[in-house]
Amino acid sequence: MAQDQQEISVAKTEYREAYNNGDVRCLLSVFATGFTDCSDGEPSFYGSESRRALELRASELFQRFKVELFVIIIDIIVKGDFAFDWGWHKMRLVDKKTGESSDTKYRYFETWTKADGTWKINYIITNKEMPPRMLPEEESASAETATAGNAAS
Amino acid sequence: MEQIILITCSELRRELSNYIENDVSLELRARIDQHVEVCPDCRAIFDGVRNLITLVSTGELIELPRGFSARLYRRFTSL
Repeated sequence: MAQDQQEISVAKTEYREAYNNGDVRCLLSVFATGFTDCSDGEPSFYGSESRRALELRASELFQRFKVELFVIIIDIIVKGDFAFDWGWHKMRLVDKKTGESSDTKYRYFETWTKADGTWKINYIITNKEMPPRMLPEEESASAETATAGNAAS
Repeated sequence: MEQIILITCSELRRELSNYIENDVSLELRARIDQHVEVCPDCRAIFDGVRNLITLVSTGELIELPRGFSARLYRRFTSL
């Protein structure tokens, strides 16, 4: 794996560990100054506001829940000092008071920028993954195959 | 406990045959194992490749289900 991709994988691992350890400071350290935050269920934040908004949101989250984050990176593309990656965040939240847990899968896309030799997230957008659904033509093809299979046996 | 660094789906797929042939470092093996545990797409590919290798390496003949040839022929002719 190329050096830059490896460094981004390491930074993304730190991102995951920050959530799993409830470490707000560590989480913020993965983001560039003035990054753009377009996270699911939140208004968009830009510039200096994004850091403060993430700090508040993460503090509240970690206070209430034990977080288990699983990250699936589909790919990382590097173009000089700019890079982007995409994949999924699977987040399990365990309520610290009740022990109840919930699982949510998010799709994500991020851009990265390399400043002073370190890769930082410059832009992040996430939204909730939906259950899979067959297209109408696939459904009818599937039904035909099943009918043909039943007739032949 | 030491953190296991994330691996991308695309890198995992490049390393899959090396992994199955036990030709990867312990560190890379751990990264692949961790990824396959949470990524259903890669797990499906991983299981498919492993099953195929097992199937081919045993050299056994497999009995096909009844009507398989007729169904296969029909599918070919309908293309």
